[in-house]
Amino acid sequence: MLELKGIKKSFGGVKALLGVDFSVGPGEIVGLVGGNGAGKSTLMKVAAGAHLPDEGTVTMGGQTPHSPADAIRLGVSLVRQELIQANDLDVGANVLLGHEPHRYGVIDRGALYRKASEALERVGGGIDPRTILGELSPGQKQRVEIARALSLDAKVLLLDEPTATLTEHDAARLFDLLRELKKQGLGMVYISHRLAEVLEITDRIVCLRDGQKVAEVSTSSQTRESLVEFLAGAGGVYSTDLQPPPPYKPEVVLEVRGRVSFDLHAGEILGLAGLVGAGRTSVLRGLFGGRPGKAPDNLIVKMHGKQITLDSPQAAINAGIVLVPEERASQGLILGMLVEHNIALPSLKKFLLEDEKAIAEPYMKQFGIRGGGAASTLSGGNQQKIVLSKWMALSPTVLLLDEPTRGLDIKAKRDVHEVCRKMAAEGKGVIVSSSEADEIAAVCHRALVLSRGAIAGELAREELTDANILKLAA
Amino acid sequence: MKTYTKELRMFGVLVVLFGITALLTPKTFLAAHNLTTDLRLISFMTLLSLGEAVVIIAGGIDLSIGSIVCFTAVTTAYLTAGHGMGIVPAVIIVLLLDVLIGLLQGLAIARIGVQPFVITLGGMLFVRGVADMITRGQEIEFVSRFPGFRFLGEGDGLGLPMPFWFAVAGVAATVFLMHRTIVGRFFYAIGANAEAARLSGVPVVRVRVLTYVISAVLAGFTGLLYSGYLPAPSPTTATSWELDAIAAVVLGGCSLLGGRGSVIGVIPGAAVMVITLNGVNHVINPLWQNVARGTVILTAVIVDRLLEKK
Repeated sequence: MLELKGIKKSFGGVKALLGVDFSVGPGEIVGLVGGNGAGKSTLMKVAAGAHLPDEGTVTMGGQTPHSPADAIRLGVSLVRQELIQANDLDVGANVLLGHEPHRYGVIDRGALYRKASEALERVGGGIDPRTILGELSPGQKQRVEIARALSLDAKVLLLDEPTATLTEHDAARLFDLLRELKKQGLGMVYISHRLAEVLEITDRIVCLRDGQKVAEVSTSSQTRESLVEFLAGAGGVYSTDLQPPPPYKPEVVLEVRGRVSFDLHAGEILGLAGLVGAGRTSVLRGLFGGRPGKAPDNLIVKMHGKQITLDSPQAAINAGIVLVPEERASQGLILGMLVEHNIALPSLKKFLLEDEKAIAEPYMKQFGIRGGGAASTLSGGNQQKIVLSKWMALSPTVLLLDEPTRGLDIKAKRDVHEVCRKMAAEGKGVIVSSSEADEIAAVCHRALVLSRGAIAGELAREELTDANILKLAA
Repeated sequence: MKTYTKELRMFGVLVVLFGITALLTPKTFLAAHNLTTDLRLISFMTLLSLGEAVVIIAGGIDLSIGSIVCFTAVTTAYLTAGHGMGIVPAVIIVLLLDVLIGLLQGLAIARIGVQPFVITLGGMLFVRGVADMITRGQEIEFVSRFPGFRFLGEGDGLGLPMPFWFAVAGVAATVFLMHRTIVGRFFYAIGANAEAARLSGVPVVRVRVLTYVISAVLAGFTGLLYSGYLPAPSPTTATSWELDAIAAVVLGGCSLLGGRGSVIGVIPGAAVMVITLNGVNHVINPLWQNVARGTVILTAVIVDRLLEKK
C-alpha cells in the first residue's frame, strides 16, 4: 500500500537517509527501530509528505504525495510524537480540526459532533466529543489523535513513539486498539525505542542505523537481544557484564521526610521506579524547590543532619541539590543560547561576567561536545550532556535525574549512566527516576517503587525486574 | 562568536535613507541646524529605546515609557514652576517616582503574573492621566528659570548636542550591562526560556522586575533631557513614543519573543525612525509622516524575515 523506494535525503551536508526501501501493507504493523539520528523520524516525515526525498519515490496506492495535505488525502496519517492539539477546544473540534463540516463557512455543529462521535467510537474509551481536550489524560488525547486520523479515512497510520507519555495501563489499551484497527485492515508503522513493545505488537521489524536499513526481519524470529545487536552493531543496551556499582557508605547525605520518606547515602544511586503519573517527578521537583512560588508542603529535608529550606531552585542549588529535569529542551536548556553559556549559567556568581568558556571547557572536553554554537544545534544526547555539565561544574552534593535518558540512543544512555556512577564513586548521592525498569536495574543500588504519590515498596538491586516493579506499582 | 548582521543591515538602511533625503533636499536637510536637531531627537529616541530593548530582550514589553517621559517632564515643571522647588530636589523626587512606577509594574508582571502588555497598557493610561491632572491640560513653562538644566537638553558640548553625549553614555552603559555582567546574561536567559532559567537557579522574579525599573528610569532620563529642550511640557508631550521605541528596537534586530538581538541595534533603529519623519517633512509634506514610517517598518521587517528564511 505505502511504498518507499531508494529514499535519499540530506539536510545541509548531513545525510539523514542513504537509500532506504520501506513498505507497509494493509492489516500489517511494521516496527521501525534505530538509535537517535538513525533516520526513523526523517523516513516517516518523507512518508507523510512533510519532507520531499532528494532521490527515490514515495507512493501510496500508486500515487505520489507532494505535501502533508496530499499524504492525508491519500490516506497516510502521522500520529505525532508530541501531540500538537488545541487544548482549549473540545474533543470534537480537535478531531475535525481543519476539516469541519460547514455550510457557507458556518460550522455545522450537529454534523461535527456526529462525525466526531463516529470516529471516537472506533477508537473506544468512551470519550465524549464535548469534553475539553485539556481535561483528558495523555492516553485519551492519543485516542483523539487516532480518531482524527480515522475520520480523515487514513489507511496507514504512522505512530512515532506512541507510548512515550502513556502509563503502562494506557499502553496496554493502546495495543488492544492497534490490534483492532489491524483487523479492520489498517496498515501501521510503529516507531519506538522500547524493544519489548515492538516485539509485542509488530509483524515485521525494520531496523535503521546511520540512515541505512541494516535489517528487515519477521518479528516472530526475533528476541530482545537480537534486536539490540542490530541497533548497536554489537553489545547490548545495558551490557549484561555491567559491574554493580561500588557499595555505598553508611553515612546519610540526605534525609527526606514527607509523603515519600527515605534516606540517601553517600555514594548511593537510588532509583525511583513506578508508572507514569506515580509521582516520581513531584518527589524530585519537591527536593528542587517545588513549583514557581510554591514551596513543597510538609516536606522536611536534612542534609548531613542539618535541616535545610528548599523554597526555590536557587535555594536547592545553594544547598548542593541539582536536578536534571524531565524535559530537556524546555526545562533543561536555553536552546538558543551558546553551549558554553548554558553550561556556565548556574556557576555565575559575580556581577561582572566570569570567563564562561573556561568554566565550560573541561566538561565539553570530557563529553566531546562541540562548542561555539547554540545548544539547539546539537543532538539530544549531546544536549543532555550539556545539562549534566552545567551541574557537574557546581560539584553538587546530590544529583537528581528525571527520566535522564528518554529519547536518547544507546551510546548516549550509557554515557549518562556512566556520569551517575562517577558521581556516586565520588561520594555524592544520586537519585534516578525512570519509567524503564532495566534502566533502574542497570544503574541503581536499590529502588523505591512509587504508586499514587506514595512508596509502594522497595527493591534491592537483585530484585529489580519489570515484573517485580509492576507487581508493586500497578 | 556573535555576528551583528541585522544591526549592520540597519546601519546600511540608515545611510541609504540619509543619502536619499540629502540628495532630494540638500539645502534644508543638510543645513547645520537641521542636522543637529535630528541628532538631538535621535539621541532622545535612542535613550528611550535602550530601556525598551532591555525589556524586550528579557521577554517582556513596556508600553508605559512614552507616558513616563511626559510624566517626568510635567512633574518636574509642576514642582519647580508651580511650587517653587529647586531643580535638584525636583529631579530627585521625579526620578524616584519613575523608579516606583517601574517597580510596581515589574512586581505586578513578575510576581503576580499578569501579562506585561496588559500591565503596561494600564500603566501607560494611568501615568498619562496623572500628567493630565497635574497640568490641568495646560503647558507649564519652567526651563527658562534653570539655565543649567536647560543646557543639558538644548546646549552643545564639543560641538555636538548634549543629549548626544548622554545617549553615548547610555548606550555604553547598557552594552556593558548586557554583555559583560551576570545581569545581562540573566536578561537573555529569561527572555529565551524563563522556566529553564529558573531551574538553573536564575532569580527570575527579581531579574524581571529589574528590567521594568531600568526601562522606567531611562524613560525618566529621556523626559528630563527632553524637558530641557522643550519650551514647555504639556500632557501631550511624547505621545506614542513607546511605539516609536518598540519600532526602533525591532528594526534594530530584537525579537519580540525575547532572548534575541542586541541593544546596539537601537541606534540605527532610532535614527531611521527620526530621519524618516524629518525627511518626509522636507521632501514631501508632514501629512506623509506616518505612511512613510509605516512603510519603513513594514519593509524592514518583511525583508529581514525573507533574508532570514534563505
